[in-house]
Amino acid sequence: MKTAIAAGVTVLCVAGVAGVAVGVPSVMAAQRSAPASGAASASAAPAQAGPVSEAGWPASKTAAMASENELRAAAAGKPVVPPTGAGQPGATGTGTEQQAAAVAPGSAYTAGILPLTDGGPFSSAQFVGVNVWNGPVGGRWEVIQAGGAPTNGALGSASPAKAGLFVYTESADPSATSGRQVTGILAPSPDPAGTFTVTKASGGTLTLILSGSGTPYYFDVATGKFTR
Amino acid sequence: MGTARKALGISVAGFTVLASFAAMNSGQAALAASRPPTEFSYYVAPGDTYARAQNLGCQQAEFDNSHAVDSFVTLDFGAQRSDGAGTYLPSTTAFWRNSSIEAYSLRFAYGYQSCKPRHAMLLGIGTSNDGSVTDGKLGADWGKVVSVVGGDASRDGYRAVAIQGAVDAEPGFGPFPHFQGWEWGDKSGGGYVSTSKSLLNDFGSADGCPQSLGRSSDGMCGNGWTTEDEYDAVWGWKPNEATPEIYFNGCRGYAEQANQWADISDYGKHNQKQGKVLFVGPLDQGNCLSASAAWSAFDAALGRDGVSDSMKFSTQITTK
Repeated sequence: MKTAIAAGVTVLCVAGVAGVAVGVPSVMAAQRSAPASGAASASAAPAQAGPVSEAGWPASKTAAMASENELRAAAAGKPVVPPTGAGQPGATGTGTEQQAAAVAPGSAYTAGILPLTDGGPFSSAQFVGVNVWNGPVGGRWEVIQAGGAPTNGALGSASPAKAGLFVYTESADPSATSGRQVTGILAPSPDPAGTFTVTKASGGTLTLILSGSGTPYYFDVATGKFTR
Repeated sequence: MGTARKALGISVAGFTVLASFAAMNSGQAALAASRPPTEFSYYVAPGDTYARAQNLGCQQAEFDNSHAVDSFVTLDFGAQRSDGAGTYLPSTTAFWRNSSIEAYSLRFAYGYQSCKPRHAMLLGIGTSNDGSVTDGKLGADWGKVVSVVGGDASRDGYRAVAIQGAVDAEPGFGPFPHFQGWEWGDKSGGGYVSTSKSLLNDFGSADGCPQSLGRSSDGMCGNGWTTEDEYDAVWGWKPNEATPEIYFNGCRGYAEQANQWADISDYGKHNQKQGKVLFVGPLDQGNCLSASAAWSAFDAALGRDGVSDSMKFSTQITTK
């Protein structure tokens, strides 16, 4: 969770309501005893740590630490050499980009609809994402995180939400070190309860589905307005 | 704390580290509850370069030398793409391949080792449980990334750096069974534990978990997660440890995160054989709370809930 919007964010159409208390299901203990579904190997079953050692950590954890230290021990006495593979290019493929990758890993945007809930500079106390659309708009790279604004920030993703879109733009160059401009949280009026999911992007219009209803909404990417 | 660090200090030259390094992270050796110096972790950003990674690693070594401490650093590379080939960097849609992640991490480790460290750095290679698919195959993919970096660091002589895995596990990112499959395996693959023997540091949040102290019982968190699920993710499972998010302490109406984590530890104390959680230390973001305030809030909440913990690190994550 990354929180970075604090100032400068315009939140539109977000109302506040009381949070909802939740109880503990009685089946919890029974669920816990079930092994991992479809476990691929004997190691797949979650193992609880063993007896606590004198150091305070369970022996199994200190064993993991020992494994890390075995690698360190193996490094002792060897000459320290720079990484040999650090110049390899990243995701991009042109000659210029590969040359630049000698010093930069090579970032690349992935346009379209992505299944990210954290696709922007907000925390789950500020906005709860469902999925994201991103692509080039007017010489910038526009990112539209669909989801909703929690009506009780203290509950975060466990809070009821008002549907909305967290909108911001980036530099068209994914490796640029600055240039992010946050528009804010956009919502239709009246703002429905629930969260939005982007289901389609066509002709500069996003089709959004409201959770729990199936009601479609439409958002014009260029104008930043809901069209219905 | 300063005395404890000196007593448990790591002799890089002599390299008698196995026992002492484990003890350093044990949460034991409780002396005074004074706050350690702030260690920085990083959201890796699209414009970051290998040169930057090396510089940051070097700066960490110089910091450790000047403060006579070991360090705990997490590099957050964001959510894995569904095919396991890489990640979308945190809070962006910018993609890096695993090879770039490995190279960046190794550069950071090299930067530390090349600046004459007299102490040691734990370097966590971090992802999250965000994304469409969090399953055993992706967990195995990430364990492989961690193993590659650990193996390369060892091969290249970086004896002052220990490499481990890290995950920003949050209820809001996805259901608990998916995260469980990611770590322990499911029908898609063997999980993190199938390809890495290293510890796994959870640097996530406990969204929606109870925020009151003195409960000692299981409870519901966000997205179907429970107190017990969070306990397993930070301590109950063998490889797991935690630098939990303490970004908020009720400020601006947000969660009392210190209370949430104290309650999770209290649950363990009363219901699990491993007992209370021995946290590595709080992770702050410098937004609602300063690193000092996050430490104080967390330390106080743990004390009030009867699960005091001599945390060894105070960490703050940043893009700087």
